[in-house]
Amino acid sequence: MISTDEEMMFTNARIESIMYQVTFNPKTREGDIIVNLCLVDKKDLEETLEIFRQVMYSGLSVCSYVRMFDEGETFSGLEIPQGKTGIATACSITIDGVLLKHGIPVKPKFGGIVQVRDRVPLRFTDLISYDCTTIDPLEVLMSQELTSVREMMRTGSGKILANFREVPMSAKDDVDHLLNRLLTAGFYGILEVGEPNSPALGARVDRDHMGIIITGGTNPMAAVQESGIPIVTKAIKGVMEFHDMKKLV
Amino acid sequence: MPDAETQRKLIEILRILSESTDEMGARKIAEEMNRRGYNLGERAVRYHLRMLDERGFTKKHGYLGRVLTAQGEDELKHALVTDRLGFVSTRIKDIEFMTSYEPHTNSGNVAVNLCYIPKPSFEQALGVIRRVVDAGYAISPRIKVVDEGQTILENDVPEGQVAVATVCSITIDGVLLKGGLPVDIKYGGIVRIENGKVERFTDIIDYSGTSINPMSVFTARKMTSIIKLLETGSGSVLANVRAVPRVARDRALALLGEMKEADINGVFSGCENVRPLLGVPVEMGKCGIASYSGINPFAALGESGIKTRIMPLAAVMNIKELKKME
Repeated sequence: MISTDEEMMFTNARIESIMYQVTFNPKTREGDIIVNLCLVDKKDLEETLEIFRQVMYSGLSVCSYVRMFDEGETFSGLEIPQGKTGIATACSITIDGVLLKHGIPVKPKFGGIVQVRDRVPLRFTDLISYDCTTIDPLEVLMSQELTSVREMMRTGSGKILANFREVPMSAKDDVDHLLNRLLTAGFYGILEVGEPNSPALGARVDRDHMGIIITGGTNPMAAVQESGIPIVTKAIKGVMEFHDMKKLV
Repeated sequence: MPDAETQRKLIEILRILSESTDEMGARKIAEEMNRRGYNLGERAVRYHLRMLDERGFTKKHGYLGRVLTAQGEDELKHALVTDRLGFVSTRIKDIEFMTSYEPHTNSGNVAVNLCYIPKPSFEQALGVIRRVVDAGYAISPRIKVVDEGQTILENDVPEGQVAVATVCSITIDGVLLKGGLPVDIKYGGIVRIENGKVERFTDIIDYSGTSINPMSVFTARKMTSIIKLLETGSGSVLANVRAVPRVARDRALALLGEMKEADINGVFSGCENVRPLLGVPVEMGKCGIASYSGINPFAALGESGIKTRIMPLAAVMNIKELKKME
């Protein structure tokens, strides 16, 4: 328990701490990545995984690998309660971690909702800055009933979770190269890479920077929630060796 | 997509139209654009209006007038997200400015929150609201109840619903501001109470970094446990924190005292010389004032299974219109 006089930690501090722990090498596909964890009732597991598959198949997650935890198992200080199953999915901040470890000064700025029309991402409609909140924005926005991930899969138009980071435009070539390598390694969640000094999906960037938008690793959870299945989501829960995860699709 | 500069002008025109009750012509729009710092002539406005018409965001109405379409409303709601980042704090500043409440005469306009409650649940709801107010987790025992078919703040109360207005905590900021203090509302958050005593904030969101009202976020995420708090003395409630310069401490304390006299309550940490304040960062040279949120009675309704529609920071209203609950 935190003491009364201790100052609270904003999400950007938590993000930077965990980015530092990423050791994933996209070339060898080894090392630690960041994961989100969710808990569902065991009876809902099959249906949940089916929705996960659909979301991942539509490319609305970060990658298609998951790891399951049975009741009684512990991950990152959380014991899976009786009657529940834990599912870990890759978190988009993993990509920031990889960029960082390649010497690119990347700065995650905010999480939000992206409106998609006919499979083309249009713009952010809502956002919460990481340095202004102690709760993860993607966890918060999920509970606002603002997403329509399932509608997006069905019709090609809807609202999905995504987050935004900035890199200096001088790092453009390195960033392109790394994002390609990550794509080859199965990390397909890159929604948009903006032009230097131009807004990306309606969000402004700092001078001589460019924006990169990545789909939220919590979109599968949002879709499950939309379908009325009770689910508890802990975004950016911990790091995990990529080898321990299995491909779902 | 037009360039960012044009996009901004188009959105500003949509804003002007949405704020006006009647149709508007190019000349009036041009005047208003100039007032807002956009140097745009009547002809340029006409050109921009044609672009808006083509996209279905505006339509002609009367002789050369324009009105917003439903699609235009929608566009305005979603566009220019970075601009909307400060929307919540701008809205607070507007409401703060509009208040005119004077605690020593108990007169003037206070800020209010609004909530629509289904009629069959109304008696139950009133009971819950009273319990939250009596326990001291709201701002004032005064409320206004408006029945279906009548209007409140220019809104018609829908059939089968009852609207309830409560005093919003921004009233406190208003009183401080009108008392000459540069008050800065900083965070909305969740505060944990153990055995009737305030323990600490457990989560906060900075008003300046969100396009969604933090209070709506916390209630939608069901992070409060007010009913449990009423029953056991321990639970979590909504609260917010503002900061004032430390040199203004005496004046602030005097105003807070006046408000207490006038039954404007809810402050649980007033200008104490502590940093951080119950876990919340406070700037050097400033002191924090933490109060409960006027939304707490409504959040408790949600916890009791009553389906409500909450509008935080709805408007200002004369205190005389709000009646003390018997």
